[in-house]
Amino acid sequence: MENEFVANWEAQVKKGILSFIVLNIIKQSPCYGYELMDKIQKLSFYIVAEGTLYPLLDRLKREKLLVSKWVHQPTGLPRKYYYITELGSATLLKMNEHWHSLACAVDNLLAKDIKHGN
Amino acid sequence: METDSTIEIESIEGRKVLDQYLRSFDTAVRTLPQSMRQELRAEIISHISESMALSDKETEFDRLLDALERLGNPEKYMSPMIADYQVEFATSTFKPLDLLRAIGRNIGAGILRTVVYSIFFILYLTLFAFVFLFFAKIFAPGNTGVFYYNNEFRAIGMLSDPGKYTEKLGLLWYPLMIVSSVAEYFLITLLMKVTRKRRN
Repeated sequence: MENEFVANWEAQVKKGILSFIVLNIIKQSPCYGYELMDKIQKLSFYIVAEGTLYPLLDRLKREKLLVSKWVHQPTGLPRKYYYITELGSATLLKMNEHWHSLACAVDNLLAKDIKHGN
Repeated sequence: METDSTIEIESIEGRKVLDQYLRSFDTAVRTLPQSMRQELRAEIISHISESMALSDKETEFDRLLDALERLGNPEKYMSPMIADYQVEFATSTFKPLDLLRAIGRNIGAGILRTVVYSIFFILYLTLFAFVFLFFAKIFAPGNTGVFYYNNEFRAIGMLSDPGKYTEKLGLLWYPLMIVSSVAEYFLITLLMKVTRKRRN
């Protein structure tokens, strides 16, 4: 029961910050879908169905935070690369600020908890 | 935009499995505009190709199965996007049928969506109640309207037997029903827009 609660909580947290993670990865370097999924999974963000990434990318595009472009490859099929827009970068800057202040507040709370010997 | 990507699969059974998967993908996205469908299909095919190329499975068939299994069921993973698109479409066209389709698509696409869009469905039914009452006044004028008894309000709508109640609104009933249904239609559309924005 306890493990199930933790697993659900973890899934909710990951789901909630997936767009934040996606934007940060693409900000570092433009990615195509499969590459992006691979980078997300390397951060221990296991995605149950990889297909769920595409509706998310579409939503970020419709919000004008990302743009995409098909790039032909010398071998294999073309890849659709995603790039962050100016609006995306500005939005991500705000998201990162929120994340840092939230992380700081939670860290402080946990530090107090350790001090009290729990 | 790339629209004609294909994966070369050697085995017949592999081709069958891929065709079946792509057919179920096409079915899942059938309500989207063609350009969007083609773009998504090409992207999914590209994903399958990349996934197979990097797979550690031995045979081509196993690599394909592994790639498709990891992608998931298109009907499931595309569902939130289709539901969102239909709301966006319905709230921009202002067509009642599109609105009803959007409500139907969102009911069943997750618990929260089901609850919210069930409320929209009830609102939608009340909208039809206004339309029904408009016509009811034509066919049963004495039974439809705003009813009073001894100058006290008693009922609004349609009564099977008004008895001693007096209907007070008369012909004003018609504009009241028209204004109410139009206002409710815009209210539903506006609430759907707000709900979609908030979810994003």
